[in-house]
Amino acid sequence: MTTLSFSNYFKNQKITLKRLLNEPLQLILVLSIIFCLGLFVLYPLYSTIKVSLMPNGHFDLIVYKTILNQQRFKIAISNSILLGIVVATLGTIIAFLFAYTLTRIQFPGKHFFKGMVILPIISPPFIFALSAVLLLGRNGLLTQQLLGIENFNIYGFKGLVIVQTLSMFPIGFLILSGILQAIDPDLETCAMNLGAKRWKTFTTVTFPLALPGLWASWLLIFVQSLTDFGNPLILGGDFPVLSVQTYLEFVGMGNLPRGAGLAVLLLVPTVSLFILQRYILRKKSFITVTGKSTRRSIVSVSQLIHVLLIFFSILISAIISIFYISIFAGSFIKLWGINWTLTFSHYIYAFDVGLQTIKDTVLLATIATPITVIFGMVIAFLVVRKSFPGKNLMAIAAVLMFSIPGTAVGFGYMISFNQEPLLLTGTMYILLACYVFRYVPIGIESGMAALSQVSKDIGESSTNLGASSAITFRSITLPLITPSFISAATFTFVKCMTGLSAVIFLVSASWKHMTTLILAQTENMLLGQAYAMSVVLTLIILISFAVFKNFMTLGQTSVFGGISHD
Amino acid sequence: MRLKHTIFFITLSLVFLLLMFDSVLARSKRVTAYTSLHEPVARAVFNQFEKESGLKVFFVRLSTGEAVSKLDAERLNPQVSIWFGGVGIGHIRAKNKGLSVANPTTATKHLEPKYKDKDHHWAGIYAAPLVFEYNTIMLKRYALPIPVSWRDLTKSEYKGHIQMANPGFSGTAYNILTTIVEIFGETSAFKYIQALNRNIPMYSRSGSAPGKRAAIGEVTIAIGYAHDAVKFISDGFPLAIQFPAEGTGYEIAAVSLIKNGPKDETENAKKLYNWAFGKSAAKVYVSQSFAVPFVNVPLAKGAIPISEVKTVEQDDEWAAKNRSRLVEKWHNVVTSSQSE
Repeated sequence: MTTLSFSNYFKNQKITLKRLLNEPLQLILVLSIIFCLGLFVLYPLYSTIKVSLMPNGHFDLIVYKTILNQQRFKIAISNSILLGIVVATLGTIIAFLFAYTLTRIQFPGKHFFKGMVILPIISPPFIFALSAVLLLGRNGLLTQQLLGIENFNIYGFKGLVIVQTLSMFPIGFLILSGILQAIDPDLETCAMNLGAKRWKTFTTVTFPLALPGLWASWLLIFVQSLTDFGNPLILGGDFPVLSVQTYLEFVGMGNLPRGAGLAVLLLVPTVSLFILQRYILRKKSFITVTGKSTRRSIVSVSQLIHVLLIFFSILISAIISIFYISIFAGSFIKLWGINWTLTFSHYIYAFDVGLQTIKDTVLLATIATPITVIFGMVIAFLVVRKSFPGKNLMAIAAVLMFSIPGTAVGFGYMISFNQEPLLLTGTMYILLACYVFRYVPIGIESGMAALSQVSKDIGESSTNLGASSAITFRSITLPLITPSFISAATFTFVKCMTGLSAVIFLVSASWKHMTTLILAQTENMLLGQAYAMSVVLTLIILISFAVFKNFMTLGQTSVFGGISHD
Repeated sequence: MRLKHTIFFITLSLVFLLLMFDSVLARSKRVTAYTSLHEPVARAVFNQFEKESGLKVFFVRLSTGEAVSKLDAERLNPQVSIWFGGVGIGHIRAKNKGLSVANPTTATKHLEPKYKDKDHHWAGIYAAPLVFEYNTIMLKRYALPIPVSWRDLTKSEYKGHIQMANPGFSGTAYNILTTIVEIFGETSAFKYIQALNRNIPMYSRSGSAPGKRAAIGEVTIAIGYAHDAVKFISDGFPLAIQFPAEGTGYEIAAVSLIKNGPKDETENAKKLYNWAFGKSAAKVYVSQSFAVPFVNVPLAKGAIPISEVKTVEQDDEWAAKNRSRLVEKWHNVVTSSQSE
């Protein structure tokens, strides 16, 4: 997070303060960033906690007592944790096998498999829940039509495990394939040359080296599952979870303090895991990237396992494809399972009811993306290159939002900005603020990555050779940071287009979001229309990819390389 | 290469500006609304109004419960000027919470007093009785008898076959809950709910979803409003309806004007409000949802007027006042019996 150590930092504090005062422009910049972060990150958090602790205007633990005493909340808490553990474990196993296969075994069509895994990351978060109904519901294509299973119940724990694992293992895959790539195969070859069997090599060399990655993947998927909102809302059935209960408590019961209390409960594990990941796992990580690509074919597994692993990857990719194809097909079919006539009517309906929504969604994402990325890069620049008091705090506040569940963010914004002078509810500004501050860590991460590539010396050399600072910026700095900028922009845009859990609290009749419309249509069993809308949303994202690629030739891996969370 | 980029960038900016301009422009001469009508019905209703008035309606579909919470949360800065449709109990709650505004108008003078608010905060557009809807094919497949009474629904043979919505979200479901309380009395009602819960695998958020699920066979029996069911039947779904022997509850789908809604819309919203009780609106309700409006228009074939149904003594004012308590109790009964 910072290049300065703490002792250094304190020693230099006086000097840095003086330096800051000497640069008024920078001082203003720092102060305004701190003000914004305080207002849009810390204040909503504070309001949420305050509402839960002071339900009647004075300090009272009644909210938490009720939550921890009532059966239905206890069930929701244990359900959330159980689901998180199962999904994180399954997801990490699949992610590891998949990553291992793609990095260690040579076979044709790897790019296709990588693409298949990226797809869930760029889709609306609940797309698998939608297709699960098509494939595994009572009239499901697989369950009823093909296998003839009569009363398969997709609604509940089983269904949630299936859809969450499929949609979340790709994050684990990104982390693990990065780490497996970074492990020099020479180490494995050495072990084998020294007489170790394949299994022994795996358990004593590869696996321990990948362990920090496995942990990181497990934690990230766990948090994702815990904070997931769309899937449990669609498939939850009789399996209540914390994130949905938070929404229900506010929307169904109008009980703000209790909704806040549940949001805080959801926040505790995610923030602590965030700290754990940031300060403990990062130090433990002993991966050294040497810079040389390790593309040599090495067979550290036996032929049989080799074949099994490839088969496994094909199977997973096939399952993902089937889920996507069914959405696409479902959007053209009159009534799935009943009337298989082809029709365009869902699209006509989608555009009639949803055109304004589509415009709003795209417009807001387009405005928010550059702001988010530039803001993030400025913060990264200040944190990496400048020193001033309160720098660490600023860095923490800026990335904190990534660890806060969307439900809590949305809830916090809703109760913090609904009265003068901070009257933002119902306007586009509340959605923009939510996007910018929720996704600014993306900009910061890539800003830091970019700055680590642009050493100060390069700029100085350029200046020493007689270039003006404007020329230096244009011909040296800009080209070097553009790729990071574009990749951050792509990812931010995707996040703005697909976010649901925070947005659902903030949309209004004037400013709507496609994901909330899709969700509402799903719940009203307007499934064909929901599928059509999902296809439109996915297409917009794919088009945006093409647009961003036009700016810069980028592979998908470089777009998602540096970004591994949320 | 640089030129190509420039052209590309300019095109992109133009598209963006167009998008922005359009979004801003479209925000004048309009009415923003929450609606709790089924989305396709709302679309048809507002399309008709737009055609007649030249105004543009922006709407979001929310369940009755959601609409009240949302209006309450936006109390200091209301985002919409009208709430169109939704179970009357919800509109009474909105009035009690001070979210709606009185709008005395001659447009509602043809309504019977029980179908409108005495202080002119809301008025009904149509009434609809609750009914059991069952999928005839599924009923046969599982060899189940037709449920003819509320009592029947608790029989163990229906385990996993019945669906209703969650009363926390859905006005329909809260209407079911209060009907049960009105029939059995509160103490026995919650014993009944505990028994009924054993047969219900899940509760949806939207009140009309269970009926749709029954129509396509995702569930065997649903509890919902008759006009939705009749619509499915006329569309050719293998669905049939049965009124419960003990009597049934009903909704008064209502419209309210929102207090302190967007200023430049007030007059437009009043126009929409007055229009909602007229003949041309009624025709859309009839053609889209088989509802039976309070205006004399030719009914759709199969539509069921509330006067022909055995209804319970229903006190919507009481239902609105006791909602938090009853829903809380319902949640506790339902979840604690789930963990058994």
